[in-house]
This record gives sequence, C-alpha cells and structure tokens, in this order.
Amino acid sequence: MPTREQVQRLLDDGLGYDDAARRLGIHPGLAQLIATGVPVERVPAPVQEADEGTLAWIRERAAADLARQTRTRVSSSKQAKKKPSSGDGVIG
Amino acid sequence: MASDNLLSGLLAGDTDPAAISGFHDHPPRMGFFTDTSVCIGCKACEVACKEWNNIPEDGLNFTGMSYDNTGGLGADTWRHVAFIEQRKPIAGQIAGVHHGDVGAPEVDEGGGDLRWLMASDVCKHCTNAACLDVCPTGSLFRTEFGTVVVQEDICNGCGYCIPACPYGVIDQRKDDGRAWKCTLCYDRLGVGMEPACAKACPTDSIQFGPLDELRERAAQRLDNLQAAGVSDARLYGHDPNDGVGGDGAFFLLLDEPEVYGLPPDPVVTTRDLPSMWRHVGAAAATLAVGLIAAFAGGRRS
Repeated sequence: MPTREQVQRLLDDGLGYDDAARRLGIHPGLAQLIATGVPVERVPAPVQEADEGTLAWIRERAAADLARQTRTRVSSSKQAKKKPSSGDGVIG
Repeated sequence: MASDNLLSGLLAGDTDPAAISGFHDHPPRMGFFTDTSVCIGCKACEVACKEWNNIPEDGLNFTGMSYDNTGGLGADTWRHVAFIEQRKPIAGQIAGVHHGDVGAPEVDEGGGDLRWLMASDVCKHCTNAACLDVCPTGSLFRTEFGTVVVQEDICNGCGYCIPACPYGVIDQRKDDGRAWKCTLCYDRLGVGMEPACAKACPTDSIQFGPLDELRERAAQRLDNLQAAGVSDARLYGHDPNDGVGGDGAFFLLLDEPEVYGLPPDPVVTTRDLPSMWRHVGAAAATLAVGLIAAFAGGRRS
C-alpha cells in the first residue's frame, strides 16, 4: 500500500489520480484519499453557476418565468372581471 | 518478512500501529473524531452503518432510557447513539422544559433545566488493541490504515477478544458465536470513500480523516468551546500516552466519560501479560531447579 509521499511524487510528475493509481495498483479514489486525506465524496463538485453559459441560461429562464407569471396574472384578473359570482359554488 | 518489519518498527520506537504490524509502506493512519457537542441524536449513523454493513436487527426493545432503545454497542450494533438527560443548562443556551402552554403537565424539578448529551459511540480502534493480541486465529488484524478489523470467515468463535476489550465493544453473535464489530468501513476506505456513518452524519459530529489532522482539529475545537464558556468540554481517547496508546476513534465530550458509559482510564488488558509470563517462567525455573536438587540430593543419600 503506497504512502502519501509515493502518491504525491507521481502527482508532482504530472500524472492524474487515475494514472497514478494505475501505476500503484490501487483504486483512483484511494489514491486521492491518501494524497489529500479527503474522501472522494467530500471533494467539492464544480459550481455550475460559475459558468457564463449557465448564468446566461438562468437569466433567460428567470426573465421568461417573470413574463409568464405577469401574463397569467393579467388573464386571470380579466376572467374574474368577466364572470359574475355564481354564489358560493352552488350550481343551479 | 513481516516479523522483520515488526522488529525493526519496534526497535525504531515506532508508535504507528500499521508500521508496528509490519506494513513497511502504508497510508496515513485514518480514524474518527466524534464531536458530541454537535450531535443531534438523529441516529443516521446507526442506520447507515446497519445498511452498509448488512447488520441484522438488534432487537426491537423499549428500554425506557430516554430516546435510546439500542442500549449499547454489540455484535449487531456497531454505532450506538447514547442519550443522557441531565438537569443542567447548556452554556449560552436558554434551557428549560415548559409545556404549560400546550396543555402538557409541567415537570419542574430543580428549576426545569434539562440538557441532553448525545454521543455516537463506536469501536475505538486502539493503538494497542488487546482484542487483536489475544485472537488465536488471526481473524482480528491491523489494516494498513491502522484500524482493527475482524475477518468473520476466519473467526472460530473462541470469544477471547470479548473480555479483552477494555471498552466492551466487540461482541459475539448469539446465533453463530462469531465476533463482530466496526470495521471503520474497510471496504469503503479501499476505494477512497469515508465510512458510512461519517457520510450520513448531517452535522459532521462524526468526522473521518487522517488521525493527526483530526487531533489538530479536535484541539482547536476544544479551545473554541472552552473560550465560549463550555468549561466541561474535554477530549477522550486522543492521548497517545493513555492506557491503550491512544484511540483511532476519539471523542469530544461535554462531561466526564463515565456519564457517557465510557471507562475513565482504559488500559490495554494484555499490558501485564509479558510480566505474567516472566513470573511464570521464573516460577517454572525455580521448580525445575528444586526438583533437580531434590533428585540429586536423594540419590547421594
């Protein structure tokens, strides 16, 4: 089982965890755990909001939502004005 | 080869259990730091442990001990969340049980202050593990991560490890007689994942990582708590100079260890074995000399 120094040396040579792990005969996740002390599930995922394309999509989607909500509000208020009250939901 | 490593490790005064056990190259020692000050008693650790390790049911009992119906660690309980109720306010917290406004009977003894101490207990993965020392089959072994694991397919159910554990952790299953305990999720560690209990803990009360880093983090947390007025806060099992050489799983407690059902001064139960064997050897040698002298004297007369 490799030491932290052994894993680190391979990483310093420019290898990724996959290649370093292959050379050492261990799982890539274990190579990462040994090198960093952090379990593989705890490594922070890339933040999607940081991507400019994603941010543009979110802005577009938010604007569309706002427009749709406004349209819905206007049409429902028009319908409410047209329809007289039917009297507490009693049909007949 | 392993014995050469063992000898060289011991001669070098090595205190790393993996090195002493014969691992020439090994990763950093891994362990748990359980900070009970942030445990909320959700028992997610108990459930995650059972699910991941496929541990059978440990009895559906009502113990009457607060919210703890598990009772303690055992062959089918590798994580146990203890609930301790105390008539004592927590520092900085407005304590008190006042149910008058919802129609419940008011319980007011000693001012109505109540605090719950909750702590998730586990195998301590001792540096000097007596369970491992006494195992005659090699079923209990030290891993390259410095943890102590039982190989259930090798265990013959002799039960020597049960009284050897100073914490009363390891236990035999009634139906098959074999010994079972926390493995610190050895299988998950092998692919770089953290143990299931630590993964499931929503407050990070159970922290997993390299032991030396955890010890630093725990010391910092203790300083912060004491500075905030929690004067009873203390670390348990962190000291490499204690009776078991320090634990691989150590704790931050808010009261005496006895309150949590932990021994205040655990000692590796095999500590006196070398001295005992020396005394047995001396007694046997004395007996042999006496017999030889008596035999020789008898022949002369």
